[in-house]
Amino acid sequence: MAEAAYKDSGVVKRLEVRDVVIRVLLALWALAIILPLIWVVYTSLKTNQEFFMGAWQLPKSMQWNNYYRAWTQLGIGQSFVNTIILITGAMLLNTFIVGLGCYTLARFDFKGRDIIYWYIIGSYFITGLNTMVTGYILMRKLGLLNSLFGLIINYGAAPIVFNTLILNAFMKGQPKELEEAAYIDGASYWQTFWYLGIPLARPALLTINVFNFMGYYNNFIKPLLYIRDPEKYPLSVAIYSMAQAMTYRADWVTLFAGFVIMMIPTILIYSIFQNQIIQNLNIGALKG
Amino acid sequence: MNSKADRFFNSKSSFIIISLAPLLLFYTLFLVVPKITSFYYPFTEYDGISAPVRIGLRNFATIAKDADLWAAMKNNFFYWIIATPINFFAALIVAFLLVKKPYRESKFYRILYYFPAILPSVITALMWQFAFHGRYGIFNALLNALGMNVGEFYWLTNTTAVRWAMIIPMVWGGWAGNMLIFMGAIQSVPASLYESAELDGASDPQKLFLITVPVIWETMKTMIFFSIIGLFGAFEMILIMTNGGPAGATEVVGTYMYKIAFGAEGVAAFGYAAAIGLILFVILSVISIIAFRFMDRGEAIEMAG
Repeated sequence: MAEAAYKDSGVVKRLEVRDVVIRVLLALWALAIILPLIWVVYTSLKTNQEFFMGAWQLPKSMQWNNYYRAWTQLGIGQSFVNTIILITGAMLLNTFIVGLGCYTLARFDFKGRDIIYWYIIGSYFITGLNTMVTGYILMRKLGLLNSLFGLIINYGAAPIVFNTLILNAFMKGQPKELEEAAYIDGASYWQTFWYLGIPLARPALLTINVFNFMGYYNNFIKPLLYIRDPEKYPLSVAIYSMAQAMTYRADWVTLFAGFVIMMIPTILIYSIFQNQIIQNLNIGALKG
Repeated sequence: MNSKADRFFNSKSSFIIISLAPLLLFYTLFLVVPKITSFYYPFTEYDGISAPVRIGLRNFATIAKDADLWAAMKNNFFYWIIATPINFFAALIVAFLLVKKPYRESKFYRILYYFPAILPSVITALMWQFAFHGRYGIFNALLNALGMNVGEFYWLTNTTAVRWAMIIPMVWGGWAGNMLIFMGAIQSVPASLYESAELDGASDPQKLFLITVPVIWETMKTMIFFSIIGLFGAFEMILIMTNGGPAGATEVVGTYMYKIAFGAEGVAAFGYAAAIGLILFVILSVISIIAFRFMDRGEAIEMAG
């Protein structure tokens, strides 16, 4: 018995050493993520003189003024408004298109339903860069270039495939009884869709819109190609063009304040909708 | 309610047609049309102003001789071959640790580790561009503080260093998506499998590679498939940080195509850029089919079904 106890303690010790190593490595990686972010934040509060004193130099007093300058002089304020208009419009449009279409795909039996479903899902597997140019040509032919409205229309369509996958699966899983009761009570198809279909699908609609938000907010190439006037830039392109202009203006701390401003919505959305973001990658994305 | 129009509007077949119309219209116009025309423009010369002129296979003859393009493609493979395994195995191992060894801090790490993956790529790219700055960047400041005397080395302007330096932001922002997927998959592995392995005295690495990996193999296959599809995809980071430079050291197909189609030189060679896109599509299709044959030994590609 004494021998067993001795052995056990040996095992425990060995495991502990390994656990310590693992935990140190995990902590180092956490540091590798946090350090550059913290650096951006405290740099955004320095003066430009302090910026030139090196990366470790902390601000002597907080220059909140940098944020004001980023918002007004750099035009972050204007692009922030553009981004809000763009994202709100695109989310509403996409929810309308996908919500209505998937409701019918999931809740009605009709000829050609499976063909339509596979027609939509099928293109998921034809990806690549080959639409960068042809997508641009299309937008130009439609006269939708250099306008937020055009970008909203394009964004409304962009995540159709992914969202159809998620919403269709979710709506299919709901019981038929409520709808049948509604029809018996004399509700029209439109009323049933609006008062029953949409409210019941709320969790899935929320999920797709969290992803819509992040996709729209992070998108860079499309606004870079489709929007020409700087006063129409959404944040992603605005901050990029500011960084390029800084080669001549060298107001680095203000630019860094712009970085922080652009991170804030991401942090907010992530902390509020963590569960949707983390769960959905497990269910939706990869159930092939 | 009783007018003819109302009855038509409220009939089942009209509901089906009207409700599907926006979905089909938007999908077809914005997602299918660019894909279909990407098989047409490659055979034309098109500057975006005058009408496209059919020129047969001439673009493809040019592609065959375009050394810059093939160099760029080589760079894509370089980044894919270096970054993909790191993103894959780091994610697998960390996911396993976070699920199977619930340290007090694991829950926090899961949230923190994933954060770079949802950060806008513009921010990741610009942040790292400055982090690599020779004199003011945090990267050299850290290396110098750790005793590695790099002085004021400029990572992004040295043609050799820049190729490797770019891998850091790619991994920093790229691996955590895989981690989440692996975590989900690992959580779905029945606990009884681990328990019986523990009775047999299996070590953690054995559990990971002999139990977890075989069980989540389907998920891993899908992830490999998506990583192949993305082989030429994400070029934003490079476009922002180096724009393919210096001297083409980080040029990838995406940045190359971007310059040809939308470059500042004023030559909008849409036909040629589209031809490159078509070549990429063909290459990707061939690689994914081979990869799936290889992984499946003859089983049909269920994914594409």
